[in-house]
Amino acid sequence: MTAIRQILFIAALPFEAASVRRHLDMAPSNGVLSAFTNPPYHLVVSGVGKAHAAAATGALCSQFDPDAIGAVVNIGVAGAVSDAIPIGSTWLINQIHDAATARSYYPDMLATHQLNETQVTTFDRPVSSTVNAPKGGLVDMEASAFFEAASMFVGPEKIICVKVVSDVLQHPPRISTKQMSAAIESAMPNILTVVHNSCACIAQNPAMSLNESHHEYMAGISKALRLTRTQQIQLHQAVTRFIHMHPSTPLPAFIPQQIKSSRERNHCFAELQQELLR
Amino acid sequence: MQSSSKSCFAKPLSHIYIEHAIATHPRTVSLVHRFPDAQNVYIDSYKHVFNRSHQNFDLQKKTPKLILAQKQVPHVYPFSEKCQMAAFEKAVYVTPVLGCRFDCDFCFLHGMYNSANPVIFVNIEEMQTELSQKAAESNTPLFVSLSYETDLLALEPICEMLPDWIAFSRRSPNLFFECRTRSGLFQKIAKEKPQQNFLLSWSLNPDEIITQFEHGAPNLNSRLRAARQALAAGWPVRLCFDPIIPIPDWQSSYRRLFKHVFDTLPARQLYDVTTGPFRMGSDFFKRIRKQRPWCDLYYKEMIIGTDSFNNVIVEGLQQYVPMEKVVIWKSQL
Repeated sequence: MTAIRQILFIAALPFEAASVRRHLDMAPSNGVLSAFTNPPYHLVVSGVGKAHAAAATGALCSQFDPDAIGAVVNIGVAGAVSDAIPIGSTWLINQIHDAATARSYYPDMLATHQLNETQVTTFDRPVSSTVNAPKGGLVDMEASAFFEAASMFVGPEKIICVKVVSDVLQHPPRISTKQMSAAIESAMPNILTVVHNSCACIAQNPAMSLNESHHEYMAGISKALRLTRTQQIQLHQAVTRFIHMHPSTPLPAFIPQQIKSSRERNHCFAELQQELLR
Repeated sequence: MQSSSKSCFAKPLSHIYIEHAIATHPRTVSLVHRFPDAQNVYIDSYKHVFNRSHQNFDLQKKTPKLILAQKQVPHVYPFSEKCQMAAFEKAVYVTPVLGCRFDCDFCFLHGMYNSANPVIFVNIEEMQTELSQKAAESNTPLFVSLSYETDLLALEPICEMLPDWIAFSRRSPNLFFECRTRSGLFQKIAKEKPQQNFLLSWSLNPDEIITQFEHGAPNLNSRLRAARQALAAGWPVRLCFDPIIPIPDWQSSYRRLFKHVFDTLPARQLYDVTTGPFRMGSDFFKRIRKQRPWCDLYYKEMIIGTDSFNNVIVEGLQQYVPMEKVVIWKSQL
């Protein structure tokens, strides 16, 4: 019954995206943004900085029904504040802090994984010294905006942020883009484990167990009856309840009727609702 | 896409979110020490984690994280008059913990909180100071509910907080505490000296209701065993048949329950017995109905008529318990 959910990647730079593309065998897709796809995987290259990250995240997320999204993943490089964090290492982010707004964001850490965890602080400009740097963790230029934009579409249980360390603030220069791309690619199996485990967790929530055919069923009824927004929500609840209570029973057949008034619509909807809630 | 649904969830308490302000508090240090494998995440305010919007309560229940925080004033809250605190003129509650270990479908906490991750306030001494002040201002004993927004005994293996509250009750004769629970963990406080102003209350329901609606909570016999041990040790014990859930043939279920309970426990030794139907504020009800579309409680007619309630529950209890010891929640208030 569980639907295959869409997994959305947002990377700032082409070389970050290249590792994901190669690993998931993605092909370019049409659109204004540089985007790639191999369903259920989708990738967009946002460009550097918060505005780009937010715009690209929003653009990608808006292409899907939020229920159909399994994970929204920010993947990219970040600087380490201290050399306790080795260059090339991969980190799952459990706390995102925005240096400019002082706001903090917390992805839900539902899934089991094999990555180390740390926090990242997002700056508006490149950070080249430790003067304004946080006490620990990583620094980047996208994570907070990515999280805030993704939050407009999905809950924190679907937002994942993974960073690969490109340099240490105290000890520039960084490693080459080729080396960083290779580091991301070698981390991809572990990253995908987090993503897939997270999707498996989400699939265990009965409230999220609607698949594409259920959505089509609801869309057909909504269109035929011209349901109000409130009725659409009630229909969603009733369908979710039905498939949970009667997992092996098909949804009641709905024969489209010509609806001439809102009164007729309400009557017809009430009958259907009653059948779904039996 | 491969996934392993059995092992996909992180272990419960895999993360502890700790407010900077209480990072070195002895209770924080002790708690963190007891979970060495947990990932510690330091935060400015528990609200940044606990109050986030669009959290998934049900998924979080499968892998709860701890949040350690400092409670800000006020520490003591007055009860609504609708809560009907039996013989006590003045009733208040404190919130040493927000959130519960269990996952009962009928619990108002689902509708009240955005998060299923429990918040433990480590500065309970400040709550106790404020309670002492309230007690000093009051000319009648003050009823204090400790477990209003949690189940403190169920969380005792994590919090280790009850011995401090029991010790405080010893020093506070003008306060009367109630610790309500569904747990069977009386052994966690068995070493404590019983206090006559510290009431241990067990919420009881038939096993068929526990199985269907009280997810993660111990069965009836575990609770009865704990209540019997508490009575034997000399603690005042209350039994709460509340909420009464009208499942099909609920009348027989509750009649069997009363017989089993009072065959097991000596009714005369009980402090009292409380009962009331399933009830919930409409805002919480609507919110939980949306969150839990699979739960019958929010979709089927769950109202028990006054006559049925009196005939089955009140009369049923009267067969075993003197009427003066039965406290009934009245909807007319």
